[in-house]
Amino acid sequence: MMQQLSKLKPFLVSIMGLALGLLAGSLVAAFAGENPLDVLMIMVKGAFGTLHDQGMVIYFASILIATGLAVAIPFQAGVFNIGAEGQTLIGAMACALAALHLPQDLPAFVAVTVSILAAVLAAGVWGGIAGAIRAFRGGHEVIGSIMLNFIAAGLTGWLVVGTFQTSDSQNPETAAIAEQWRLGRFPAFDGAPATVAILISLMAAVIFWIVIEKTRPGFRLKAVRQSPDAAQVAGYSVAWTRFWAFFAGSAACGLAAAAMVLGEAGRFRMEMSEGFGFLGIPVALLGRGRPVGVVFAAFLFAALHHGASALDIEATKVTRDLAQVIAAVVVIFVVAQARFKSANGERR
Amino acid sequence: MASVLIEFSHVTKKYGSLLANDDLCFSVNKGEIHALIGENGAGKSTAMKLLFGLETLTSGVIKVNGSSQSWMSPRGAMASGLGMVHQHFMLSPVHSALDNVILGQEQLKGHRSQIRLFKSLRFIDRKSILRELQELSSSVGFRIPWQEPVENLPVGIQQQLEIAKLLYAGVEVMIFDEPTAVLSPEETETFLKMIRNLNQTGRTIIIITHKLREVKSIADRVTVLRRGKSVCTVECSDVTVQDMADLMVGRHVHLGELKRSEKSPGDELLYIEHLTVEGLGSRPTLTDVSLSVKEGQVVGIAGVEGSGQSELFDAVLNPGRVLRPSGMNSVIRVLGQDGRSLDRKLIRQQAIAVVPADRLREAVLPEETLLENELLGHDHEFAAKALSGYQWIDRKKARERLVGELKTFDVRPPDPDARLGGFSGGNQQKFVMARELSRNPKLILCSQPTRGVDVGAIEQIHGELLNRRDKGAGILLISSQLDELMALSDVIHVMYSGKIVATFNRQDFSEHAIGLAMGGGGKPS
Repeated sequence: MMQQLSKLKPFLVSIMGLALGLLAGSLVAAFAGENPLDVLMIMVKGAFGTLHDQGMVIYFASILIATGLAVAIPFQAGVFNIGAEGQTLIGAMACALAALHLPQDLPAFVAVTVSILAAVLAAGVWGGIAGAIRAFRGGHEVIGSIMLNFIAAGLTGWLVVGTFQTSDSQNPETAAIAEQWRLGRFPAFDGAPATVAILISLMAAVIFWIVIEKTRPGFRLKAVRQSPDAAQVAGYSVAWTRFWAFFAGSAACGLAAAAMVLGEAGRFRMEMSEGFGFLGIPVALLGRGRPVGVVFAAFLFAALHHGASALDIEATKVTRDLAQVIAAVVVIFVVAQARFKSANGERR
Repeated sequence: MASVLIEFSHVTKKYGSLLANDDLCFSVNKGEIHALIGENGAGKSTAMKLLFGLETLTSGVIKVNGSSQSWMSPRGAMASGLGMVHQHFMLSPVHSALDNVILGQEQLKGHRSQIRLFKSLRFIDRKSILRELQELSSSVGFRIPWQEPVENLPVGIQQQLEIAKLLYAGVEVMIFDEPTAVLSPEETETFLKMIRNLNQTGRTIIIITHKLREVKSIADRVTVLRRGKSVCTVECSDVTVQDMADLMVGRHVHLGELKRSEKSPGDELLYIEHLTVEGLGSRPTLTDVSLSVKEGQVVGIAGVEGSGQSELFDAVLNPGRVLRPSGMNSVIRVLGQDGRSLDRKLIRQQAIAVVPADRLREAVLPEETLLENELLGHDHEFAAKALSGYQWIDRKKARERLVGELKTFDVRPPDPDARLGGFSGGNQQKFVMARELSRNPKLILCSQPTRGVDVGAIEQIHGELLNRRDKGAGILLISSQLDELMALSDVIHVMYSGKIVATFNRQDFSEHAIGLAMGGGGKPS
């Protein structure tokens, strides 16, 4: 009984955090002079009102599962990746360049696969820089990965404005990728960019689950997270474990990039990741770094993100930024609980 | 008749469903040396935390000087004349000894150490504090260099500093938690003498310890705790060390000489020659260490903590790393293989058992179940074939194996799904021993195998180690407990600041000579 309860506890913490976030959002809305219930209804309707809306939520979820995994996977080895934003940008650029430069007579399946792999590899290598600095030189991964965000934004911006900008457009974006090389949209969603990307992201989550639950590398991640000293004595390489965790997490951003480039935009656009990389952090935290949790949290934040955009049009005194208030409170609550738990754990 | 100073009556403390103290009753008289003994998890530390206001009572009363204890913090306890020296010293390493005494007291309003300039601006009067401390030192026999940063002081002196802090604060009742665990035999002697001094000048002393011989030599009365209850309080002169051990465990414990078969050492398992390893940071440098461990031989490494034992242990665990840079004539051979080609991972895949000193930090994952801990360092044994090579873990196989181990080594409770951190120290260590020894290792590397482990479990662990030796395993045993080394070893090497300064064979073991060598005054080997 007690054991079942303690297994449920993390879940309850997440639910509590969410409830508290919604409460805080309601309070803010009330202070701004809106009826909180109306605001909530607008958001729910905005997220699920039409088939197109539902498709958008699925699209955002396919991105957020990937960026959530980008944070959750390194977290399994006790390292914190907050560079998903930059990793996604680099991945997106690599994806677009691959799709634009592959020989045109390749079969679509091969071309799409190669483009996705290019995104995954580029994102992994980009994050791997911060991972390697941490693993082999001891430089803090938070600093490293966040700084790489700026460099990624600058680098991709320079490339898209300077070298690869299309002459067809005033905007800083590349030429369009051939229609047949894009990810197929599910017809049910009224043209929304809900594509097979969601299946790929879910598959990545399943693989993540299998690795941590069933395999030796997964066990090594756990050992390194909990006690680097014990892992060391057990003969595991703490540095390489951390590096590969960081690399694998960053690589997941490539999937988010592919969902955007091949699934929605059909090209690389400057700053196209729009903060989804950063949103991966609350997704991973709310999902407690676990595969199932990340998937649920990703759908939730996707709904929140898309639902809140309706506020811009339908509410007068609050905007979509309300979603950020809610997300922030959720994160603060979940993080405070983690602290509480560790303080409680050392009681004897 | 002696007057009662501290009285625990019907004290109960619950942590969730765990009863740490269960209707505990005992009292400490004014002016006595009172020892608290008991196995790990018997509730000694909890009792002292309650007395100190670090934890709150579930039920019962603690009376000090007749009135019930009312403070909620160590500071309150200090103000009432109670002070504690913790097992891990509470000193700031970069500050001088003098500043460490001042630290924490400078904030007390109107304290005598302050010179007031304006109403709220207060300065610290170091000169007068130093004068006071020097007087104090000469009366008790401290030898503290007051201006020296604490990190440069030996452990024994740091302990004196902890005591000086309490004396300066005017403490009348001093509580010591495992005070001699980190001291060399010589330092221990000095410490015990000091305790007697302090006691003769009227202070009441409470000592929590595992070392029954010290209790016997110093304490007036002893309270024995078992499973949160007090079994009894006895006059120290009325009981023997054997009696105390039996009372602690609740059954007869074998303390005397352990049975060992006469055996001539066989093939060489570990060979180290001219090993020199540069120390990193504050760690000592190993200089020209040579030793060998043969089949059927226990080789003990004695020495005060920090003399290079853990560097030696690390070197054997990862010979490749230490040999590659340091060059020419250093040799490590493990089970006949050149150490240069062995890294940590390869070492763990040999028939070698590894029992590191700091159990909770290096040997286990405290937050995980026993089953997961069974895998730590041994996952390759349970590897199953999957898509790409043997990366799958067969937990079913691990579970079957673990259940057998728990039974053989009497780990209680034998539940593979229980969280390791919830087990007592003794059972944690028995689990580590079970994991490492049940695989019939040829070579056993173990460091502090019985640290923080209760008498009953010590008996069992020692028995198991000797049993392995008799069956032909070679053991490298690092320990700071001299009696443990003398009971188990065939040869003892004494280390001092990174060197082997003396070597003794079993027939010429002498506590005095080994103790002397540990302090750096060894006979040339």
